[in-house]
Amino acid sequence: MTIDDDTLLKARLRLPQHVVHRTFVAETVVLNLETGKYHGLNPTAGRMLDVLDCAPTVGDAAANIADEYEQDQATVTADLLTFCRDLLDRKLVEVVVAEGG
Amino acid sequence: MPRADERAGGFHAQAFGIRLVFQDDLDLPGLSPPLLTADLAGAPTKVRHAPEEIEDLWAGAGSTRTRTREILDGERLLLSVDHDADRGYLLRLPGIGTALISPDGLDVRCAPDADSADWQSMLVGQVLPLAATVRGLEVFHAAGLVRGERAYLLCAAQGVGKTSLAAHLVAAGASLLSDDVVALDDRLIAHPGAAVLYVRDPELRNLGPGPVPGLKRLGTTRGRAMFAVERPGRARPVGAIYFLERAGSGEPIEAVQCPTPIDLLGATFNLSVRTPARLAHHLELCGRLAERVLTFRVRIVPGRGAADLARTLTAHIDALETACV
Repeated sequence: MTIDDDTLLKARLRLPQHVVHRTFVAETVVLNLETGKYHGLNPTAGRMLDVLDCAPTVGDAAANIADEYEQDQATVTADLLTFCRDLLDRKLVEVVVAEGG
Repeated sequence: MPRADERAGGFHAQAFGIRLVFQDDLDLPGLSPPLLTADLAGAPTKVRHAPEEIEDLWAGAGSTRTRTREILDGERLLLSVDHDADRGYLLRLPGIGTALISPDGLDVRCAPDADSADWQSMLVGQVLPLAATVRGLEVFHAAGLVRGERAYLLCAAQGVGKTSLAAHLVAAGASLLSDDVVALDDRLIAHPGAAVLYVRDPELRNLGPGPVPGLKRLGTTRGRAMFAVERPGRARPVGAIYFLERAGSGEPIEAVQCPTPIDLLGATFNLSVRTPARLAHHLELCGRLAERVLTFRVRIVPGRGAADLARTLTAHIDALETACV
């Protein structure tokens, strides 16, 4: 299922219970406990994952990251949407459905 | 070979961070003398001869059993591990024997092949490390040595020269946690395995023609010379990890500023236990190692022998020990 940009920006993403991650010095490892597959993220992607996991929506995460890295928000948003789709394809994050929604 | 601590009901020992009670007359190389470590938690793992029980239990294993590990030489099976949630892990070593490790790791049923001379070394080298993993330890494919107050791990792929380097470090005064498997607990304490070095022929030639100080030859098993060495009296915190690699040239030892997860994760000895809890635990422990333990690359270059490299490494370890004090 493809999620359009607007819907994804308003969505809340979380790491599912079967996914754990651990930050190393120069890399974050994301582990899918169901498949036993390890995924490596560079420090920026690792930070994006941390922010996504806490932010109310993907759009809020983009704003936070743009602010933290002092980057143009449109660029960060585009990068983050690509990153989110990659994580969703690999089942490393899931969309949290709002109550009643 | 002296026995481990003999008491009524079997003999007691400690290895790979767990207490053990052997209920049969096994002569296990390298588990003596009993260790001084008094703080190993939990009940001992019972190790006993029970071929009929293995057959009966495993015959009832359901469709949920899965093969978690297999080692082949061409089409010949050398080792397999199957998991069943209710019955545990069945480790098969064709021509050597079979062991069934209960789901909690507290019971190891053994069925050695009648004419196998290698069962006891396989029990120590494969079965007990698997039981330790089931009980919550993490086992690394490494030679572990103690010099001074801390443990030093040598990680390398097979054939790089880990064992001959370990032998020369023992000759220079180190004691041996294990030549191939080191168990770590959550505090990053390294626990002794079996104080036996198994040296293959090419590495045996590297040791030179005469007796090597600290190594007492016991015999030969599976084409490898078996040496008894001094066993550390207790578990020790990990002082550093050395990753051995073959290289064309370069400094023999180089600090690794940012150890890569793949180096640490890939150094596991145990690929058989793939439960979510164990995978998460393994990742966390490797993260802790990356944060808290110094890591180095050791280059094995043509023309630099194991004895020469052992001298360099001994000096390096001694400098770390001095810095720690």
